Amino acid sequence: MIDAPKVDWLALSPTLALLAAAGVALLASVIGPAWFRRGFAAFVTFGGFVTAGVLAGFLFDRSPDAQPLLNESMTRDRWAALAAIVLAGAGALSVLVSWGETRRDHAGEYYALLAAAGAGMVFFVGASNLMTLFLGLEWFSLALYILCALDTHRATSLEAGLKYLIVGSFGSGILLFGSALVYGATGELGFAEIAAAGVTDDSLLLAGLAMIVAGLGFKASAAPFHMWTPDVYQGAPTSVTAFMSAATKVAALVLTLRVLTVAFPEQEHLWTVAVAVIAIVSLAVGNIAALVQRDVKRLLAYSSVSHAGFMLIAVAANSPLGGRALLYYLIPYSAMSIGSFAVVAARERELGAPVTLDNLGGFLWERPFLGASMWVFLLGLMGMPLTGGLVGKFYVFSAAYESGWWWLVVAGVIGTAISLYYYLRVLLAMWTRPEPTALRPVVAGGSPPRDPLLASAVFASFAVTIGSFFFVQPLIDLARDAADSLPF
Amino acid sequence: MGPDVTWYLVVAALLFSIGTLGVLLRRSPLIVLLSLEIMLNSANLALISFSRLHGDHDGQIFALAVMAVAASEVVVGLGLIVAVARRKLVLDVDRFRVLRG
Amino acid sequence: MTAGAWICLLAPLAGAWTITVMGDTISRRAAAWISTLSVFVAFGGALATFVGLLRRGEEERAALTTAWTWLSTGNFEVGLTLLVDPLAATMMLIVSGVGGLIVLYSVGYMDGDPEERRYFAYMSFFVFSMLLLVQAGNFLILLVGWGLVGLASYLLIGFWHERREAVAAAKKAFIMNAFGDATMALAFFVLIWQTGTLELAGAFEGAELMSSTALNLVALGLLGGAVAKSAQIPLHTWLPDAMEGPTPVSALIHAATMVTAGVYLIVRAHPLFELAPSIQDLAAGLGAVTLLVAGLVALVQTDIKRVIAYSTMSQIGYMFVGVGLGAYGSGMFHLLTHAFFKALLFMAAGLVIHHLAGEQDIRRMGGVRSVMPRTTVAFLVGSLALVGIPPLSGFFSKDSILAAALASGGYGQVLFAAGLVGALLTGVYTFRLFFVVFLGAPSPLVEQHAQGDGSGHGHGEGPWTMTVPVAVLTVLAVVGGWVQIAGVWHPFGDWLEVVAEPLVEPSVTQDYVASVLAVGLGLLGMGIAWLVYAARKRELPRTAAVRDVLEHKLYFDELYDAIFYRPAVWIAGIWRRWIEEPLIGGSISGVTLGARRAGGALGEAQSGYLRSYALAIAAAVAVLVVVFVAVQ
Repeated sequence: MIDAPKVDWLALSPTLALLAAAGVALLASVIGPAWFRRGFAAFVTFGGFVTAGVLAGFLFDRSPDAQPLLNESMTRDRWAALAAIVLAGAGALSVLVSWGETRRDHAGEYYALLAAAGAGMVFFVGASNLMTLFLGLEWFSLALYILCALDTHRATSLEAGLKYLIVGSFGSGILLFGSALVYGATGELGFAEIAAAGVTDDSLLLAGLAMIVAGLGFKASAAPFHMWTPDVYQGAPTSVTAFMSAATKVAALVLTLRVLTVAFPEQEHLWTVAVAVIAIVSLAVGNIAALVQRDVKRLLAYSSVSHAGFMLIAVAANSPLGGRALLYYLIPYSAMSIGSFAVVAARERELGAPVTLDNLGGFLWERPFLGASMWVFLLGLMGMPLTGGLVGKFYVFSAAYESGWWWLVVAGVIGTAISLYYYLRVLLAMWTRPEPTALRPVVAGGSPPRDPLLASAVFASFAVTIGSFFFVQPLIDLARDAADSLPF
Repeated sequence: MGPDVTWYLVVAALLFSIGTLGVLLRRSPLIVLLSLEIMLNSANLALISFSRLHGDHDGQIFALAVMAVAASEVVVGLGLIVAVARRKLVLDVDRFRVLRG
Repeated sequence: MTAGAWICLLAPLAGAWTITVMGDTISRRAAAWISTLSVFVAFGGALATFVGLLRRGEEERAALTTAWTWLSTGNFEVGLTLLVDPLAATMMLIVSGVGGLIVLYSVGYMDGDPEERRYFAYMSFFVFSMLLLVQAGNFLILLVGWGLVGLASYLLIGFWHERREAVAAAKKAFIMNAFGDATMALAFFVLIWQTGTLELAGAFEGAELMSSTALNLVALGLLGGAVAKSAQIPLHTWLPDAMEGPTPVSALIHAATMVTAGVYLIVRAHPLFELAPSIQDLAAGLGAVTLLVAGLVALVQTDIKRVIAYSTMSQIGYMFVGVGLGAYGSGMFHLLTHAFFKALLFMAAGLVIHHLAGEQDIRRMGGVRSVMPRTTVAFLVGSLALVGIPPLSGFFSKDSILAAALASGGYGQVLFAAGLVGALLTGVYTFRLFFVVFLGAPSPLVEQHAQGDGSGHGHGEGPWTMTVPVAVLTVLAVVGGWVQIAGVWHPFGDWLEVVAEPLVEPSVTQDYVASVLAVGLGLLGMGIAWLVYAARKRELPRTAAVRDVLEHKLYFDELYDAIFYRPAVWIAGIWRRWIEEPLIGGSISGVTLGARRAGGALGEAQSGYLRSYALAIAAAVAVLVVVFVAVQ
C-alpha cells in the first residue's frame, strides 16, 4: 500500500479529455485506414474540445473557492476554469476551420496535435508552480511548433516552424532560467509559497522575475518579444494561425496575471510598470508596423501584437477590475481573431494564393456572408459599437484609469486611433470592386468551394462578437467570479 | 566542504550566456539547437545547486522534468531540420528570411 | 401580457431579419407577405397586451419587463427593459395596427418595383424600431429606438436612390433628426449626471431634487428631440421634402407614427416637463406657431403629398399645443385619430398617384371623381375628419385640445385663438385639395389614364391589397373618435390618466364653445374653398408678395441656407484656406508620413533574420533585469 496523493479528477478532467482525444486521434491516424483518419480524427478532436469545454463549465460551477491540487502544483479555481472554457471554444472553432484544408498529408496527426496543444493550454492555465508552468508551456508550444511546420510542401511553413521553434525555445530557456533564479532566491516553486517566503528585494529574485515576465510576454506576443509573431502567423497554415492567435494569447495572458499577482505581490511596483511599458511598446510597434502591411495575415498578426498591448494594460492595472476586463475582453477577442483568420483561410483556399489587400477586392460582394462577417470582426477589433470589442476596450480603460494609469489610457486611445487606419484599409479593400479591366487572380479549381463547417465557425465567431456586446452583464459576472479567485 | 553555491551559479550563468551567444551567432540550425540545449541545461544546473542549497528535492525533480522537455524539443527540432533538408533547402538560419517586413 | 409585448416587438424584427437573410432565395412577393404578416403578428401581440392591461385594476396597469440587464456598474443599471402601460399599449396598437394596414397597402403599391425586398425589410425594421421606441422601459432604449426610427426613415425616404431629390431629402431628414438626437442625448447625459439613472421612474423621482437650470436643460434637450422628430418649427423643413419617399412610407412614417413620436415623448416624460413649466409652455407655443405657418403654406402647395405633409405638421402642432398645456389625454387622442385619417388621406392620395402613374402635381389633376368614385368617398371622409366636422373622428379630438387651451388661462387663450385660425385654414387647404383633384371636369391626364395605358395601371381603383386598407381606415376615420365625447363619455382619457394626469380639465361649457367655434370656422373654410376652387365664384385676392412668401414656405429653407449653410461654408473655406491647409493639413500629412515611415522602419527591423529576433528578446531581458535589480 503506497501513500498515493489524492487526485481531484474533476479538476483535471478538461485536460484529460483533450489528452484522450489527442491519443485516440493519433492512434487512429496511425492504425486506421487512410480514408478514415481525417474524418475520425477531426470528429474526435472536436468532441474532445467540446467535452473539455463542458467539463470546464462544470468545474467553474463547482469551484467557488480556489483549491490546490496535486501537491499544490495546480489550482482548481474559476480563473482557470473560465480560461479553459474560452480555450476549448477556440479549439472547437479551429477544428471547424481546419476541416476544409484538404491537401494536408498528415491529416490525422494534425488534429491530434491540435488536441494536444489544447490540452497543454488547459493544463497551463491551471498551473500554480513554476514547474507546472514550464511543463505546460512547453507542452503546448511543442505541439504548436509542429503544427506550424506541418505544411511541409510549403517552404514558408517550414520557415515559420523552425523560427517559432528556435525563438520559442530561446524564450522558454529564459523563462526557465528565471524560474531557477526565483527558486534559488526563495527555495520555493509554488506561486503562493514564493510570495509567502517573504523575500522582497533579493537581486536573484528580481532578475528571475524579469526573465519570467519576458518569457510570458513572448508567448503573449508582446513587443519587443513579438518579432516571431508576424513571420509565424504568416507562414503557418491559416487554421493553425487562427488557433494560435486566440488560444496562445488567452493562455499566456491569463497565466501572466496569475503568476504576477499570486507569486510576486511584493514586487508589484516593479512589474506593473514593466508590464505597462511593454504594453505601450506593443501598442506602438503593433499598430505602426501594421500600417504598411499588405499581406492580410501579417497585418492581422501585427494587430494581434497591438491587442497583446491592450490586454497587458488590464494586467498592469493589477486590480479585480483589471482581471475582469482581461477575461471579458479575451472572449470577444478570441472570436474576432479566429473568425477573421477563418475568413482569410476561406479566401486563401478560393484563390490558392496568400491573401493580400490587392486580391481582396470586391470580396464583400462576392461572398456576402463571409465578407460581412469579416467587416464585423474588423469593426470589433477597432472597438466599434455593437461588438464586444467596444465593451472590452471600455473595461480595460476603466480598469487602467481606476488604478491611476491615465497615461496608459491615453496610449490605448492613440493606439486605437492609429489602428483605425489599417483596419479601414482592409474594409475598403473588401468593399471596392476591382476594375473590370484589371487582371483578376484566377480562382483555383473553379467555383469557390462550399465549406459549411468553416461557415458555421465564422457564424459562431460572429455570434460571440455581437452577442458579447448585447449580453455584457452575464459575461462580466462570469469574469468577475473568475477574477475573484486571484488575490489582489 | 565543496565550493560555495555562488560558483555553481556562476557556471550556470556562464553556460546560459554561451547558449545565448550560440543562438545569436551561429548559422547552422543544428548548432543553434545545441545552444538551446545548453541554455536549458544551465538552468538545470542552477536548479540542482539551489536544490542542494535549500535541502529539498523540488529543484531536482524540476531538473528531471526539464531534461525530458529538452529531449522532446530536440526531437521536434531535428525532425524539422530533416524536413528542411529533404526539401533541399540550405541548412543556414540566415537563409530563412522569406518571411519578413 | 408581457409576452404579448415581446411578440409585438420582436415579430417585425424577425420579419426584417428573415427577408434580409433569405435574400433572393424568396420571391419579391413572398418578402412582401412576410413583412405584412410580421406586422400583423405584432398587432396581435399589441392586442394581447391591451386586453391584459384591461383585465388589471386601474392602478396596476404598468409592468416593466427586462429581457436582460445590459450593464450594471454600481447603482447605474441599464438593460433591455420594456414598459407596458396604457400609454405604451395605445402607441403599440396604433403603430402595429395602422402599420399593418399600410404595409398591406404597400404590397399592392410596390408591386413590380425591382427592389421590393429591400423596401419590405426596411418597413418591418421601421415598425420594430418604432415599437422599441414606444415600449422603451428606460431612456437608453428610448434613445436607441429614437435613433433607429431616424435611420429607417432615412433609408425609406431615400429608397428610390437613383432620384437625386430623394437622396437629398433623406440627407436633410437625417441631419435635422440627428440634431434632435444629439440634444436628446445631451439631456440624458445631464439626467445620468444628476440622478445617476436612466430608469424612467428613478429619473422622474431624482428630477425633483434637481436644480431648475438642470431641469430646464433636460426638458429643452428633450424638446429639441421632439421638435426635430415631429417636424415642428424651427426644425420642420425636412418633412415636406421627405415626401420624396414612396407614398406608403409617407403614410406610415411621416404621418401616422414616427412624426408623432415627439408628442409621445412629451407625454412619456411629462414629469420632467412639468418641473420645467416654461419649457412646456414653449412646446405649446411652438406647436401653435407651426400649426399656423404650416396651414398657411399648405394653401399654395401644388404637390398633392406636400399639401398633406403640411397638414400633418399643422395637426402635430395641435397635439403639441395639447400636451404642452398638460392636456395629455387630448393630445394623445388627437394623435390616435390623426393616425387614422391622415394615413387614410395619404393612402387615398397614393391610389390617385398610382392610378395616374406617379403624377403628383394637382394642377394636372381634376375630376378624378368620375374615374375613382370610391377613392373620392374615402378622401372626402378623410378630409372631413381632418377639418373636424362632426361626427367624424377629428372633431372630437381637435376640439378637446381647443377646449383645453381655452381652459388654460391667458396664454392658453392666445393659443386657442391660433388654433381657431388654424381650423379655418385647415378647412380651406383641405377642401382646396379635394375640389381641385376630385371635382370638376376630368383633366387631360385623368382622361388619358381612365382609358388605361395597357401597363396594368389605370384600371379600376387599385388591387384589393390597396383598397381594403383604405376602406378599413375610412371606417376608422369615421368611428375612431367615438371613444371620447366631451362631457359625456371619456374612457380614453381615463385610460391614459394612470400614466399622465392631465393638468387642465375644461368645463362642459368650454367644450361646447370650442366645438361650435371650431366647427363653424372649419365650415367657413370649406365654404371659402368651395367658392374659390369649385364654384369659381370668387378669386382669392392675388397679392403677389403674400403668394411669393407662402410659395417659398416662409423662406425657412432660404433662411437656414443664409444663416447656417452659407456662413458655415464661408467659415469652412476660411478655415481651410488659412488654418487647415498650412497648419493642420501640413502636420497631419507629416504625421501620416512619419507613421508610415516608422512602419517601414519597423518592417526593416523585422529583417527575417532569426538572430535579430533572439537579439531583441535578449536585449529586452537584459534591460528588464538591470532595471529591476537597479530600482528594487
